[in-house]
Amino acid sequence: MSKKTTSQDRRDFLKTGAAFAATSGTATFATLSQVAEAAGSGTETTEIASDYKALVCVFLFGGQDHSNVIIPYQDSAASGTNEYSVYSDARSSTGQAQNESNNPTGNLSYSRATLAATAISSTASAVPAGFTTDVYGRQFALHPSFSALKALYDQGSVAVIANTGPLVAPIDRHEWFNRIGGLRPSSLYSHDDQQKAWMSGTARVLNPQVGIAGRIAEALPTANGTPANPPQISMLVSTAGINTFMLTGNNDPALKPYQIGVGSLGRINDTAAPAFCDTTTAYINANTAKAYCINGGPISISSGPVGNATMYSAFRNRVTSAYSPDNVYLKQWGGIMDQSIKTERAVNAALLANPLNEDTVRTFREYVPTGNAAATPLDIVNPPTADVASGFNGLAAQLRMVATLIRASLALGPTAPAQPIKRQVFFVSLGGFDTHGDEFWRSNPTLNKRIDRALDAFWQALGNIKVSGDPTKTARNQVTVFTMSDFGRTLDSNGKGSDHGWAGHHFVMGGAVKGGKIYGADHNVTAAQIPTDVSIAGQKSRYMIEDTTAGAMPRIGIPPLWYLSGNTGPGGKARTAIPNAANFLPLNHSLDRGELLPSMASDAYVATAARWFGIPAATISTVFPTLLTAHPAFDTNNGVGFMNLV
Amino acid sequence: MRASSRPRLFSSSALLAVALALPWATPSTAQFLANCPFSVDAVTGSDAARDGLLLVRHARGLRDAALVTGTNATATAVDTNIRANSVRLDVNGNGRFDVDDAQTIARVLLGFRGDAQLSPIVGFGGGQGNAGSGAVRSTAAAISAYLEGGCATTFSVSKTALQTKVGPAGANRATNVQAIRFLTQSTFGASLAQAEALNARTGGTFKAKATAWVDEQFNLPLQPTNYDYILARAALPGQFGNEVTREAWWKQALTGPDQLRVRLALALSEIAVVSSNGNSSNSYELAGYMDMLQARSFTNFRDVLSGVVRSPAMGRYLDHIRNDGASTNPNENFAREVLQLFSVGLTKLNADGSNQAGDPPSYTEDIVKGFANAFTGMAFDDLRTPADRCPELPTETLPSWFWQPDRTCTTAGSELKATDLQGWRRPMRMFDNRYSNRQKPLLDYTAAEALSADARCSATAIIANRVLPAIAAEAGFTGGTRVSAATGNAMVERAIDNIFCHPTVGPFIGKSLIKFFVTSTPTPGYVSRVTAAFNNNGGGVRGDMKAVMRAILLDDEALTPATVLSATDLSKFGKLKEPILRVSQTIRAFNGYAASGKYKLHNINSPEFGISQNVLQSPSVFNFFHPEFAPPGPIAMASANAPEFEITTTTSIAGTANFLGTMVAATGPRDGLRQHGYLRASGNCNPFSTPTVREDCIVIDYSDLYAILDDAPLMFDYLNVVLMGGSLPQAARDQFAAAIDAAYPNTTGACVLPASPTIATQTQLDNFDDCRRSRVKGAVWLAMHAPEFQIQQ
Repeated sequence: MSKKTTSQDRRDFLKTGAAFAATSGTATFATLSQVAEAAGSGTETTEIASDYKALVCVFLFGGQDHSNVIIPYQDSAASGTNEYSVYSDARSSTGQAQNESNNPTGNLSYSRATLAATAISSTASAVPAGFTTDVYGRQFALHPSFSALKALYDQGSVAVIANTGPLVAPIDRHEWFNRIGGLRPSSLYSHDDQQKAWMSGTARVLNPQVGIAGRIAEALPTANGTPANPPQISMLVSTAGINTFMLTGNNDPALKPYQIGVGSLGRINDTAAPAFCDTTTAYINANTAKAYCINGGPISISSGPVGNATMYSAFRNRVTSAYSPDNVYLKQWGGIMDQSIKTERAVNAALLANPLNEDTVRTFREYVPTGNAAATPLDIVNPPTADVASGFNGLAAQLRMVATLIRASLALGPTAPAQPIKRQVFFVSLGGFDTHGDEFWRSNPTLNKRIDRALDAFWQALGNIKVSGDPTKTARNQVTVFTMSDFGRTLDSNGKGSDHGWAGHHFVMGGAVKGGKIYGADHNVTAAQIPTDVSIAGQKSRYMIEDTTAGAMPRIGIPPLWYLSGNTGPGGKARTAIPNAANFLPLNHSLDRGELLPSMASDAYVATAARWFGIPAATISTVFPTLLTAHPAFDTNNGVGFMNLV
Repeated sequence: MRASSRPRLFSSSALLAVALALPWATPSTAQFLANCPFSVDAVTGSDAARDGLLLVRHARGLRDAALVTGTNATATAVDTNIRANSVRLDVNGNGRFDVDDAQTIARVLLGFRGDAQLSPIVGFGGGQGNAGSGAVRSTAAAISAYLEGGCATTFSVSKTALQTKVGPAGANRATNVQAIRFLTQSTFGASLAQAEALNARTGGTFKAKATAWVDEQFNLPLQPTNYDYILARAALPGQFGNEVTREAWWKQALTGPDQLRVRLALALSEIAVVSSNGNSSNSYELAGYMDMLQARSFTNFRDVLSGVVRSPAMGRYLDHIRNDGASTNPNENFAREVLQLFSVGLTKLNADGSNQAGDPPSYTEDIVKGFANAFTGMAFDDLRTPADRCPELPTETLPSWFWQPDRTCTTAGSELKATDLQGWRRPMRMFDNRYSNRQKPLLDYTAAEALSADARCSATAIIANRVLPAIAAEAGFTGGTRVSAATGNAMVERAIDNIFCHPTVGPFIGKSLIKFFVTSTPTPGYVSRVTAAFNNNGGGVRGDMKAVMRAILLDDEALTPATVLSATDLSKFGKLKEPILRVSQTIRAFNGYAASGKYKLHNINSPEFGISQNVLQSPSVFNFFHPEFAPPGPIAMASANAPEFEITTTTSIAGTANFLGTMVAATGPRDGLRQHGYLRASGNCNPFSTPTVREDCIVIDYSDLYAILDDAPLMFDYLNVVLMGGSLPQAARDQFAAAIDAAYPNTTGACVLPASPTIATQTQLDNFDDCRRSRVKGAVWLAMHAPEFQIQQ
C-alpha cells in the first residue's frame, strides 16, 4: 500500500504548529485549539467531499413512548379539541388528575396549554397516492421538550415519520385479532428482539447476524476504497458500542464496524491539560504526538516500563500471530485489538493533520436554542444542574464525535485528501426510554430534552462544515439523521407509566429531507370483516366498526374505540363519551391498549433514507430483503417519499 | 494470648491478608508465627541479633563478606532470601525494602511493640531511609496487622522450586495447570499456592479432588452480607452512592473463602438482572439483592426464582412493586422479563439447548398479561409500629402500601431508623385488596412435556397452574380487588410453580450458566447432561442448584476438553473472561490486598477508561451481553457464540487493556509503591494522600516473580501457568522473554550493583530497584496483553 503517509502530514503540521507547541515539541489539545483559533472562525479550510454522504442512526433504547413524540392538539373541525380529549382521557389513570410534574402520577397526559408552545403547523398539501398522508388541517404538538426540533420542523429540516415499526406483511387490527393474514414479526414486545428487528430489517429472524448498515456497506464495497487501496476507517462507525445495525455477514476488514469513544475529545476546550491524555505520559505505540486518546487511549504501559518499542513490538506481534491450537476466541480478540490499534492511529493522525476547530465543537459546548438568540448559552454535554436537561448528555457527546469524524473524512480515505471518505454510517444512542413506572415523568421529559438539544447542536455543527467546491452547501446537505427505538408504547396508563407497544413515531432530520410534514400510511378494514371480530372467548371484548373515511385521517395516537363509545372498558374503567364521535375513527391499526400497529414498515422508513444514501432502486430489495413484502406499496425509487433524492 | 518463648506480634486486627492468601483455609495463629520468622539467614527460626543485623546491613547496601561478617551466615543465601522477599519485607509498604523496614523488623524481633517504640521509625519523615511520603502502613498497629497476615505465606521463594512448579519440564507443571484451569472456571482467580493446595488434597484423581473442593464450597458458611458491610460504612440516615455496594461485593469476591457461591450469585445477577442503571439505585437494595442471590445460590432454582419475584429491588427495577391488581392494566414489565430472561426464554428448547422444531414461542402476549396480573399486590414490607408513623400522618394505615424505606417525614426530628433500612432487603409483602382478581392464563404446557419426578411438578399441579382462576370477592374485604393477602400469596406461589416446572427452564438456565463458567459454545451433549441434573438431582428433586453446579464444573468437557472434544469443537471451547473476572484474577493471582479491607473498585464501568463492566451495573435488564451473541469474524463463521465479545469494542478493548496494564504495571512516584502493582481505579494510591486513605490502595504482590527475575523465560512460564492456564505456546513465551531481556537487560547497567566490597550508593540502589522492577512489571504487562490471558480455555 502506498498511501501518502500520515506521519508526513503530522510532521507538516508540527512544523506549522511549532509556535504553539511551547517547549514540548508536541501537539497538545491546548495548542491544537490555538491553531484552530489562529486560523480564525469562518476561514476554516477543511471540507468534506462534494459527494460525501452520511447516515446517522439515533437509537432510543427502551422504547420511546410515541405519545410523547407527537400529541393531538387540535381537530380538523374548526377549533375542536375532541381528539385531544381522547388522548388525555386515554392517558389518564383512575383518580389521578392531570399533573405534568416530576411527581409520580399515573396520568400521562399534558395539558393543551403546555402543548401550545410546540404545536406544529398544519399543512394541507396533496397526499402522495397510496402511502403517505398529510395531517389534513388537524394539528399536532411535538412533546413539550422538543422546542428546537419544532423550529427545525417549521423550517422544513425535520419531518415526523408516524406509525412505523417492524412488519413481515401489512396487518390491521382485524387480521391481528383473527390471526389471519400474513406472518407476524416474532417476539413482539420484547425489547431485545424488536431492537434487532429494527436494526436488521428482518422481523422474523431470531438473533440476526447481519444488520441494515452491514448490508449497506456490503452493497457499496468500493465507495471509500478497495481491498488493495483501503480506507483508514470503516464505513461503519458506532459511538454506542456493538449493535445489530452494523453487523456484517462478511469478514472484510474494511467492513468491520469501528466503535469509537466520546470521552477525550471533549477536553479540546479545556485550558488545562486533559487528565487522561496527559501529555507527560509516553505511550508505547510510538505515537510521539500523543495528543488524542480518542478511542480509549492508545495502548499504554502507563508509567511502568515506559515507551519501550521492544515491548510494544512483542505485544503487537502476539496480537496478529497464529494461535495453536486453533481457537476462535483468540483469533477474534486479536482481530479486534488489531483493528483498534490501526484505526486509532489513523484517526489520531487525521485529527492532528486537521486540527479540530472550534466551530465544530463549540456548538455542543454553548447551546443557544434555535430561534432564541437571547437565551443563556449552555454546555449541552454537561449542562448546569439548574437546567431542565441537567446531567451528562451522552447523545450530545456522541454527536460531537460524529461531527468531528465527518469533518476528518477528507483525511481518512485511502489517501488524503485525493481519495477521501465518501460514505459513512454512524450509530449513536440514548437509553432510558422504558417508562413503565415513575420514570415516565421523572426522566422522559429530560431525555426528550437531551435529544432536542443534541440534535440541534449537531445541526449547528454541520452548518459549520464546508463542502468542497460548493460554497452554497454545508454538511447539512450531506447528512441525514433518523431515529429508531425498540417500539412505541401503550397509549393508556398502567397506573404509573406506559407498557411496551409496537409501532411508534420518529424524526428524520437533514437538508435533503422534505421536512415540515408528518408521514404515515394508512390502511383500513371493510364492513364485511366486522362480524367476525367482535369477541374472542376468554379475551377482552373487542370492538370494531367500519372506517367510513378511509384514508382521510392518519391514525396517529388515536386510542381504542372503547374510549369513544361510553362502553365500560376492561377492568371496569368507565369511558367518557366523546361528542362528535363520528369525527374520531376506530383504530384500524391500534390494539386494545392503544399500541399502534405499524402502517409503515420500519424497513420502508430506513430504506427511503438508504435510497438517498446511494443504494440503487434496483438493489434496494437486496439490502432490505423483506421490504417489499412488509411494505408492498414501497416505491423503489422514492421510497415513502420524505427524501429529496440527489 | 498464649505465652511464647519468642517475640510475637500481637494485634486485634482481623487476619485480613491471611484470608487473601489462603481463601479457603484460614490459618491458625500458630501457622503465621511459624511462617513469619524473618529467617533471612537461611537457618530455621529467627533472632534479632542475627536476622535483624543482616536485614539492616543489606538495606544499607552491604553485600558479600561485608554483609555477613560475624554472623556465620552465607552471603549468597542471605542476599537471595532478601531479594526474593523484598516485597514482604517492605513492612511500611512504601514500595521498597529499605532501612526503615529493616530497623522496624529488627525492633520487632527484639520485642518492641506499640506506637511509642515503633512510630519513630515507621512514621512519616521519622525514618532514616526513604520512607518519605510513600508508606501505607505508618502506625504500629497497621504494621502489626500486616506482619500477622502478610508474612503468613511461604517465606522463602526458591527458583528451583518454581522451576518444578511451572517450568516446561517441571514435574508439577501439568497438575498446577489443571488446577489453575479449574479454579479459573470456578472462582475469581487463584494464586499458584492455591492451585497447589487443591492438588495437595488427598483423594486420587484430579476430578475427585475437584469434586471434594466443590462439596466443601457448598458447605462454607455465608460471609458477612453486603448489606451489613455498607451499613457499617454508612452512618444513618445518610447513604453512600451505590458504589459502596460494589465495594462490599469486591471484598467478598477478592477475599472470601466461598468463591463458588459468590461467583454463582454474580452469574445469577447477570441472568436476573437488577441494576443501578435503572430504578433500583439504592445501595442497600442492591446489596440486599446480591445477598439474597448468595443466600439462595446453593438451594433450589425455585427458591432463587421466588427470591427474585419477591425482591423489592427487582420490584423497583422492573416495576412490579406496588403493581396494583385493581389497575386496568397491571404493569407488564416484570412479567415479560421473568419469562424471557430469567427462566424459559422466547422459544421452547430441547434438552440439549437447541430450539424445538419450528421455533415454537414459549408464551403469548396473553400469558404476559396473565403474569402481569399474577404478580400484583406486593409492596415493601412495612413493619412500622404506630409509634413510627410520621407526625404529619398520625392515622396512616399500617402496613402502608406506599411506604418506602427511604421515606422522610416532613416533620423534623423523625429520621430514618435502622429498622426502616431493613425494608430494602426484606421480601415484599402481599397487601389485602391489591391482588388482581382476574383469571390469569399462565404458561401452557402439558404434564407429559414437563417430565419430572419432583412432587412440586406433578401432573395435577401442572394442569391446575396453567390458568389461575378468577377470584370471587372474599368476605370481610371491601374496596380494591377484595382479595386477601393470603389468597394473593398462594396465587403467587402457584405462578412461580408454573414457571419452575416448565420443561425449558433446565436447558435455558443450564446453558446460560455453562456460558458464565466454562465455555461460550457448549456441545449439545454437555447441555443435555446439565439439563438432566437440573431436572433430577438423582434423588427426585428438580432444580437442585448444587447438582447443576456439579454437572457444569465436573463434566469432562470442562475438565479435559482436549481429550473429549473433536478438533472443531475444541477450537470453539472456552470463553472470553468477562472484564470483572480479568481484574479479579489478576488481583488474586498475586495475593492482592488492601490494607484497610476496603476494595474500592469504584466507577470502573466506562468503556474508555474502565472495563465496561461492574457488578449490578448492567445498562439494561438484558445484561452487559447476550448469551447468544456471535460477533462477525472467526466466531460467527464457526457458528460459535461469544457473549462477552458484545462489550469488546474497538474502544473498550483498548480501554480495558489500558486499565489492566495500568493496574499491573503502575509505578508511583519515587518512593511510592514502586515494587508492587497497584490499582489506581479509585485514585486512592496516591502516595501523597494521607496514610488512612492510602490503606485503601489495592496492592498486588510480585514476590514470586522478584525471586526469578533473572530468568525471563521462567517468569513467563510462571505467568503462563498462573494467568493463562498454560495456554501460551512455547514460541510465544520465548519471544516474550527475549523482549524482556532486550528491553531491560539484567547483566549490564543498572541491574548490576558494584562488586564487593564497594558499598552501593543510594542512587545505585534506586536504579538497581528500578531495573528489577521493570523486568517484573514488563513481564506481567506483556502477559496481561496476550490474547491467551483474555481467553479462558
